[in-house]
Amino acid sequence: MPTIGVSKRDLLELVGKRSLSDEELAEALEMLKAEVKALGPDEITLEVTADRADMFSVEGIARSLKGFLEVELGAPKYPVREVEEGFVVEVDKSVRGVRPFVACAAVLGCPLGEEGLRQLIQLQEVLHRTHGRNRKKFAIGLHNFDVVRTPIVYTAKRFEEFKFTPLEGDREMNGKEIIERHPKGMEYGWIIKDKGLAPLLIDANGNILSMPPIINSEYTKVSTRTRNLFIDVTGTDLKAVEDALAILVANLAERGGQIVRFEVREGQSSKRVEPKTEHRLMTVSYNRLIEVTGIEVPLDEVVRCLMKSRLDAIARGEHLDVAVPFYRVDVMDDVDVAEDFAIGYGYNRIIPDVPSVTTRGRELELVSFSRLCRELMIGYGFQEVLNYMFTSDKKLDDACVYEKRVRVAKPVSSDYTCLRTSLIPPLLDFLSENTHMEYPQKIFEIGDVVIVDETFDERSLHDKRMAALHADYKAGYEDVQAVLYSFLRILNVKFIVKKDSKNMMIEGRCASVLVNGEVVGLIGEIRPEVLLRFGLQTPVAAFEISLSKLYRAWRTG
Amino acid sequence: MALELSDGEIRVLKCLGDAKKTLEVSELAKRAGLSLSSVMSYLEGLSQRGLVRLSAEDEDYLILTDEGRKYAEEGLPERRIARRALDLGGRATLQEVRKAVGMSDEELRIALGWMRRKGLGEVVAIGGERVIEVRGVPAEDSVEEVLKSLAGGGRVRTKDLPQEVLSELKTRRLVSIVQQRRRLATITESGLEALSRVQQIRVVGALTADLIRSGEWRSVYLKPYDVSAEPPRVYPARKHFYAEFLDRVRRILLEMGFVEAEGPYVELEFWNFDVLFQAQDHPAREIHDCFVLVEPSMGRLPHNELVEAVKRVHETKWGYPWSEERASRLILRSHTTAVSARFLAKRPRPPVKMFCISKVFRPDIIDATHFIEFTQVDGIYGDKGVNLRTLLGVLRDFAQRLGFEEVRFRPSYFPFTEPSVEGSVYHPQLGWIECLGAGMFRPEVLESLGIDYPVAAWGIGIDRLAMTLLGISDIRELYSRDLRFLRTRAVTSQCPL
Repeated sequence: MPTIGVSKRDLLELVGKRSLSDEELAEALEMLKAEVKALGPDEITLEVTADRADMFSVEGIARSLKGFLEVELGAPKYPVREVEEGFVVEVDKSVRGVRPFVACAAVLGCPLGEEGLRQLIQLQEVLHRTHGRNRKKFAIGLHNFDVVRTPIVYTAKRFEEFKFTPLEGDREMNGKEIIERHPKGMEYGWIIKDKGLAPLLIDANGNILSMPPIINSEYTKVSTRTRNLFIDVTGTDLKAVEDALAILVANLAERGGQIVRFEVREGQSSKRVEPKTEHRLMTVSYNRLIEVTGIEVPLDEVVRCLMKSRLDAIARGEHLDVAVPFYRVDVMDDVDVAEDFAIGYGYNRIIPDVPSVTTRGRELELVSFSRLCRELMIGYGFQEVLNYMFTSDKKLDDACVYEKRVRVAKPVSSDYTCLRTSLIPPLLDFLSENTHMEYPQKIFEIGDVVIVDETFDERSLHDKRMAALHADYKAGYEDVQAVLYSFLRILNVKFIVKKDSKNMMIEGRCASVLVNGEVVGLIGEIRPEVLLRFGLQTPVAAFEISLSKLYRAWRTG
Repeated sequence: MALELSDGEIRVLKCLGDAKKTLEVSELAKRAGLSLSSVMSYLEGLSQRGLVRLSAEDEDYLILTDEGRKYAEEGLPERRIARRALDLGGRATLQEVRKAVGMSDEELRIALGWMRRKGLGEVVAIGGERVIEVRGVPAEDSVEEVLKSLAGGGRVRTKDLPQEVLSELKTRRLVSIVQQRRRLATITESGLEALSRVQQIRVVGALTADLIRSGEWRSVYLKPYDVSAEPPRVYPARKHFYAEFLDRVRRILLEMGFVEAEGPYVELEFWNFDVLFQAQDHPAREIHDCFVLVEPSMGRLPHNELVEAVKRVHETKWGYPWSEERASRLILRSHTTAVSARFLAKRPRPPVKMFCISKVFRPDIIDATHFIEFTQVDGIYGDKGVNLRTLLGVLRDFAQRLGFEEVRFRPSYFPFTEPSVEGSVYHPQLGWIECLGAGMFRPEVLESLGIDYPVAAWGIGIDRLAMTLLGISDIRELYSRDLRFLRTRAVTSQCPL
C-alpha cells in the first residue's frame, strides 16, 4: 500500500473544516481506505490502498473527506476550458515503436505554494511507482506552462541527435550522455534504451520539454511560484496514460486550478481531446447494491451514501443512474459502486450478520490420519518439532538427499534456496543446534515435502511425511525399528522391510519399508560422515515414511 | 525403637559400641568418618533417648614455648654438654666444651646448673682451669621426652605427668599450660541394646522385586529418603505448541461447518493470479514479490474452457493481450486463495463453505516480525444471499471463537474482491491487531470460474495472531529450534497450548 504524507493544516483547509479532532479525523480517514500510520503535530502519514490512485495526494483525500463529512456531496464539478487555438500535440509516427501514447493538459491559476508542490510531486512519484509500473507503463512530466510555446510535438530521435539541460542540471547533455551518466538515465534508461530512439516533447520554439520516461528539461522547471502548469503523460497503454492525466488534473482542480484541454493529433485523420473529464454513466440496480452489501436501507438512503462517496446518483424506479467521476479509474463494475455505497454508509456501522445455514464441517482425511500418527509418536516418547519447508541445497547435499528439488530463482538467503525433499535433513539440523541438551533426544516431525515430478501440471508433487530421529550416546537401528514396527502393527498395515542402500545411511544398516509392494519409507542409521557435516558427534537412527502413501494402504486395508 | 534411628545415628552408635569405652567426640568423628558438627547433632539425639551418655571435662594441656621447641630439636643443654665432655674422654675444659656446642655464657651457666642438679657431672678446678668431669649420661630424660612428644604433635595432659617432670618443665618455662574442654560420649546399656537390634536388620535403599517376592521386605529397614531433594530432570514428549494451535483453528472452522481443502505449494501463476483477476503486469507478480522458480519453471494450464474464460475476462476488462505463457509460469504460491480458486473451479453446488490452513511464501526481509514462509488460513463461503454483512458475521464469529471479543472493520483493497474489508481484533495488551483480509469475490473472478452465486472470501495471516495468543515476540520462535524451549515451555490458564 502506498504511503502518503500530508499536512494536517493543508488537509483541513482543503476540506474547509477546522474543528475536527485528531481522533475524528483518523477514524474518518480509516473508513475511506486511508489508514493513519503516524500523526505528528502537522504531518500525517497515511497508507492509502493501491486502487484509490486519486487519493495519492492530499487533494484527493480532502475530496473524499468532504463527501464523508457531508461538506460537499456528489461528483465534483470542475470548470474545464475547451481546446484553444494552438493547444495541440502533434504525434510523430517515429514514437510508435518506442512509446506510442501521449496525453497532455494545462492547469491554469493553480496556487501551488510549498505544500501544493510537494503534493504534486508526491502524486507524480507514487503514480510512477505503482500504476505506472516504475514509469514503464506511463510517466508524467510537469512543466511551467508560462515558458512553453504551443503547438507541441511528440517525436522520437536518435540519442546523439539532440541535447538539452536536464532538470537540476547545469549543462546540456545529449541523449546518450543522459542514458549513460545521468542518475535518472541510469535508473530508467532500460525502458527505452534498446529501442534505439528517445521519445521527446518539443515545443513550438524548438525547446525540448522532456525526454520521457527519463527526465524533464531544466528550462520548464516547476517551482512553488508556478501558477500555470503543463502536464504530459506518455506511455505504452493509452488507458493508463489517460487515467493518470485525469487524476493529476482532477487533484490540481481540487486545489483551485482550471483545467485546459489539449488536442492530440496523429497524422491527418486521428484526433483526440485530453484530458477526459466526463463522468462515466452507469445504471445500477438498487437490488444489486443491497444484494452485494446486505445493507438494507431505502433507495434515497442509498443515493445519499453514494453522494457521500462523491458519486452522483439519481433514483429511477428500481434503478439508479450513477455518474462516476472521471478520476475514479478504479470503478469498473456495479460491485465497485456497491463498495462505494458501503463506504458512504460507513463500514463501522455495518452490523455483521451471522448466517443461519447449517453445514457439516469436514477435515481432510489425511489430516485426521496425521493426527493419529502424531498421537502414537508422542506415546513412543518422541518430541514433536516443526521446521520450515524452505531449506538449503547445502543441507540436502550434506545429508546426501538427491531427489529433484524445487528451487527458487532469487533466494532471500542462502539458508533458504529450495523446498525440502525429505524431513530428515532439517531434523538433523535441529539436533545440531541442541547438542548441549540432555540425551537421548527423540524427535519427530509430520510435514510436507515437495519433489519435482513431471507427471503433474505443477511439475511437482507434495507428499505428507513423518520422520523420527533417535540420537543418543549409543543409538541404533533397533531403537527406531522397534518404534516403526510397533507403529505399523498398530495401524494394522502389512509391511515388509527390505535391505536397501542410501548414501545417507550406513551400508548394511539401511532398509526400505514396503506396503503392497510400494516403497513407503526408509529406515537406518545415519552415516558418521553425514553426522559430522551437521556437527553431530552422537549416533542417530532414523526413519521417514510417507503418510500420504501409508494412508492409502491403511484406508483400503 | 531401633527403626527410629537415622543412618548417621546408627553409625555413631556402632563406633561407640565397637570402642567399648568412652570416646572423645573428635575421635569419634574420625572413626565414624563424619564431620564433627554432624556427630554432635547425632549424639544430642541419641543422648535424649538415653542411648548415649554425654559428659564434659576440662583438662590442662601443655604447649611448647619457643625455648621448649628449641630444646625439643637440639636436646636439653645440660645433656648436650655432658655428652660432649663424655666424647672428649669424660673430662674436658669448659672452654673446649663451650666451643664445641656453641652456647652463650648465660646458656652455659644454666646448663651447668642443671647438669649438676641431675647428677650428670661436676665442674672442678684443675691447675687453674675449670674442667667438666662427667661420669655418664642416661639414654633418656623424661623432660626431653615430653618436649619431643609435644613437638611431634602429641597431646600431653598435665595430669599424666609425674610432679617433678611437670615442675621442671614449668620452672624452666619450656611449656605453657592451657585449658581445654573435652566432650566425651559413652554408650549406655540401652544404647548397646538398640545397637544389637539395629545390627540384625538390613538397611535397604531400593525396594526390589526380589525383596517383595521373597518376603524379605518384612525384616529389612527401608532407608528413609530426603524427600525434598531435587530429583533428576525429565521431559515429556510433547506435541508442538504451534501445531496444536493450528489444530485449534482447524477445530473452530470445522465447528463452523467448513470443509477443509488443500492445494499444491508449487503453483501456476494462473491459479495464484490470473484466475483472481490480477493483471499480468501487476506489481505483486514481480520477482521481488513472489518466489519465481528456476526448477521447475513452467507448468501446464488446466482445461481450455477455463483458460479461455480467464483470457476473455483479462482482455476485455484490463485491455491487454493476455499471455498463456506468463500464466504457465510456476511460483511458490503467495496466498492460499489459489486453493480457494482451485476449489471453486470444480464448480461445487452451494452452499460452499471451504477452508485451507497451509503454507504460503513471499520474499521479505527476515527479522522478528517477518519471514518468507508463513501459514495462512483461507476460507470461502458461497451461497445465494451471501453478502458483505454475512462475511463480516463469519469473520466476527471466527475471531470470537478464537478468543477475541471485539472486532472492527474498515474498507480495504484486494484485486480479486469487491467490496473488500480489513478486520482487526482487539487484544487487551497489544491493542487492535489487523489480521482479517476479506471481501466478496469480484464478478470477474466468479465469471472466470463459472460460478453463479456470490462468494465471500478471506485470508488470515495466522502466524501473527498465534504470536499474540501464545505470547511470542519473534515469529521465528513459532518454528523454534531450541529443544529446551519445546520440552519445558510452560502451559498456563491464559495460554493453554
